[in-house]
Amino acid sequence: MKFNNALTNRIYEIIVPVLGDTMAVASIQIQAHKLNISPESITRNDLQPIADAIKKSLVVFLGTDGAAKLAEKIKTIKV
Amino acid sequence: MKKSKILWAISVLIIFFNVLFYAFRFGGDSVLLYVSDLLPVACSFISAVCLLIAFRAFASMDYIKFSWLLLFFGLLLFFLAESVYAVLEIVFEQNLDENWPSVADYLWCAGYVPQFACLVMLLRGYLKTGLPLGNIKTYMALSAVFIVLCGSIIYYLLIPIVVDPESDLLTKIFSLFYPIADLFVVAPALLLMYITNIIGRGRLARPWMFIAIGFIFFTASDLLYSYLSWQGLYGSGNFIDIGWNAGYLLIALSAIYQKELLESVSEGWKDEIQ
Repeated sequence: MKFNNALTNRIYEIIVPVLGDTMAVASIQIQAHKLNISPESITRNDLQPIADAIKKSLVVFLGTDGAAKLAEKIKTIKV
Repeated sequence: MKKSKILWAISVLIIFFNVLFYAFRFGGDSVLLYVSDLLPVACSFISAVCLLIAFRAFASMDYIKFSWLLLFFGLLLFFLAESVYAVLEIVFEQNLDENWPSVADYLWCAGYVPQFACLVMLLRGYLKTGLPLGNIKTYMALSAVFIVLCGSIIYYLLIPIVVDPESDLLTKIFSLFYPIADLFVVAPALLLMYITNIIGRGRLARPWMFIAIGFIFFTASDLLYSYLSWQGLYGSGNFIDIGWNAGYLLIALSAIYQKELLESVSEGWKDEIQ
């Protein structure tokens, strides 16, 4: 378990195969920081803005469709 | 077995064969001519095919898919140039070191345009992501490297070409075009290389890293070729050819890594909804 928060861990699990460990953790920290929260306090309401931000940052690597698929996975996390 | 591993094995074999042949020159000069002309055709063909595969792996036509299309066109033009060069030397027995520039050079020159456009599009795309851009000191160091490179090229290559009284205008234009175009391509390639260092060495960075290294190999070989050719020291079977072949294969690897990256996202998604 990378994080104590189950939602954060699920986000990490979704993005780590693509981003790698360092970038996955950094991305979660950056997006949480932008929302003025800590990675450990991410709630279901934060999933939409986090997914959108991650989508924006990954379009250049995965294309619009690939980034949208990852974002959709984050938005529809079931914990 | 992953396609990238198969391509790695093929690439290592080709480069090993290339080095072995150039070092020992089995079969004499005629066989060497065939090897030095046909290996770049094979390598550029592999590169163009892999880039087409990567392009097709993107679902919707956005600026990223378009930038990979541009890279494909650039390498396709290089493949056509290599093929024309081989036909002129092998079939028509032309001495292209003397009859320079040839039709192949027009194709090579045209190939730079989409390649440069692709690199600029990738960099502009990265700027929009909000991902880290790195520190100013590294940019200053990279700028210093680039200025030294520009200075050396201008002093050792461009000035002697411009002031040479024996060359005609067309020869001078093509002789100047290659080193200048190389500088235009290597600058974004160096930035791409730096960005891949920032985002780590994971699956995400791999395609860009291999594109950057591939272009750096091209540039190094091109500049050495321009210098040796101007001095009249370049001939078939020169070791700098290996740099071009390696560059083609590295760009081919970048394309296959890009396809595998896109597949990893799609396959993960399929698992999720099943």
